[in-house]
Amino acid sequence: MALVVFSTLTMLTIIYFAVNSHQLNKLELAMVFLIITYLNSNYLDIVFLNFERIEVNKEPGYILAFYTNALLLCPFVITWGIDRYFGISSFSKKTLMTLSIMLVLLGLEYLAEWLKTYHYEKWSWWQSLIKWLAIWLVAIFGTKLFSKILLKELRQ
Amino acid sequence: MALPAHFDLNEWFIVVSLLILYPVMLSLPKRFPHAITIFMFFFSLTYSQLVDHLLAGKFLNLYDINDKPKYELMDFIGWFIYPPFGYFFVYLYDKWNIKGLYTLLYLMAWTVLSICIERITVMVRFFKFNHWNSWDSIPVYLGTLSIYLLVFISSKKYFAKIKVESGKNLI
Repeated sequence: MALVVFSTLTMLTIIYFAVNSHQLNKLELAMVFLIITYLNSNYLDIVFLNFERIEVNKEPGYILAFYTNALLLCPFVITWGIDRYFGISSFSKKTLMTLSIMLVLLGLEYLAEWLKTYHYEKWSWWQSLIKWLAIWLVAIFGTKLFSKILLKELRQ
Repeated sequence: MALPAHFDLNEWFIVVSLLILYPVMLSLPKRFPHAITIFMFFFSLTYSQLVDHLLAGKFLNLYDINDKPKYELMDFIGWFIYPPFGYFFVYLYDKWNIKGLYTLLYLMAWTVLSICIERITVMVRFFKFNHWNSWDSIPVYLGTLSIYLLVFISSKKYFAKIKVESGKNLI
């Protein structure tokens, strides 16, 4: 069940992402995706291997659902959010966008736990919130930096 | 992140490799836009980490990296060895203007080179194989190098395309 839910959600997100118009170009979008995946993968390694705070269901379907959620769905949601974020000029709308994305990501984590894909040991929701917020902010900063370099070279 | 149990051969291998690879990479004449180099750097770093995460992780556990099965500081630093290799790979491909069937030969040559380097990493105990051997690495390297090359060619083409478009917009 978990695999069906997460693979369907991932496919819908990717299709929605593909058919929508974008603020950032493809190179910038790919860079955002890489930054998010890199940060999230490092975070998962630390929490999973060193602190043993995540207990993933051992059945193959659940393991696949876990990776689909962590390495595809969540990075795509954040990439979509950052793409929209760069099209917004007012601070209040940017804050609202950030909060909405955080809510979606926390909702996905809640859904994964509810579907018994994994469960957290000694964990609380605000730790996840801090993690996603940190990834969001670093990804925005990284994208701004990369866009600046790209734009400079395009003008040369 | 966990610190190494002992600072021995595998840690020295990482340190010496980084001290050799990065100065060589940075001293090469510029061939690509910095944006492409940075993009490929991150691609290499993320891709290698993900593959190791999947193959050496808790579920498959086909091999271990460095001293402990946990995520160590030297694992994190060690992954920075991959981007310069990726850079040399596309740098020479671009410099020698390799096309057609020569691409296959080039990929095969780099696969052999990668296996040789992997054997050194096994000797210095950077990699410890549990249910893996170097024969298994052949399709992985062939696939990885092909993907790497495809991403490089696509990103370079895309950069050239948007450069032309941005030039038109300026006019």
